[in-house]
Amino acid sequence: MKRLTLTLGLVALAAVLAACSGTSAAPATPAGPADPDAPVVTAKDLAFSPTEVTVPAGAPFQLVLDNQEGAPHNIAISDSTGASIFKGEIVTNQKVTYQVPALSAGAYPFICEVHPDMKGTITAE
Amino acid sequence: MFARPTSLRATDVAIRIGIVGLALATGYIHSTLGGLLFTLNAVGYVVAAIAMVIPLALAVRFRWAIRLGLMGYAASTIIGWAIQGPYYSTAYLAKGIEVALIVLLAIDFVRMDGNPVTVIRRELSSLFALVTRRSGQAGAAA
Repeated sequence: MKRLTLTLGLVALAAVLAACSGTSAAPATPAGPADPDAPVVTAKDLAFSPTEVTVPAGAPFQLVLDNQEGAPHNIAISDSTGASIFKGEIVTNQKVTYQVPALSAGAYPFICEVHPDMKGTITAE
Repeated sequence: MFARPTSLRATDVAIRIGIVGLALATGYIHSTLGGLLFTLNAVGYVVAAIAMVIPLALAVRFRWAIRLGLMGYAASTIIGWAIQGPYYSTAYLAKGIEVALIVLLAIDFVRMDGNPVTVIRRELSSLFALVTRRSGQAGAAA
């Protein structure tokens, strides 16, 4: 019994240590000089504002997420089929600038991965 | 209403403290995430943590069910996260805590209740006996 307890205890300890060493899966992308004209999406009260963002098509662009609350948020962009195009770093009470790859002309839904009810649309034109 | 004091060994007390601490830790993490689902999840962990230590006779009698329930609750939280995500550092920390919680609950179950299959069989047979006795009494009264 003591050996079983010890083994299970060590498994628990290993699991906690493994969890603590985990890193963010979402890419952190605040690289390069900040574009003062970059669109800003604010996250507050579990909602994005604005929910409609327009960006130039065919060129990489910067997108600012201004998370104004304690809940963690990010911006994850997908195409019309639901395939993931971009996943921003999840931040709390922080403003972060994402470097988003070029989008061809069209509409792209975006959500917060932690709160999928937070939705918006990026229009590339 | 209140259970008589039981003679827990130091290891049992340490395991119980660990269970309550881990349940409250993951509950706290979920409470910081915002939204109804995470808040309810946090409330569930807090209620389960209280149920693990409250000295009420009913809670003590069915502590085995509380252990199994909390294990299932943590496991379903992990499965829900594995399906939906998101996969980031705080989530990994919470899942590590929940895995450790399940392991500690399993240890506690084995130490306090023994083989879970035997416990469930025993409880089912006592429930069956109770139902049979009640229906027999009802039949006699009629």
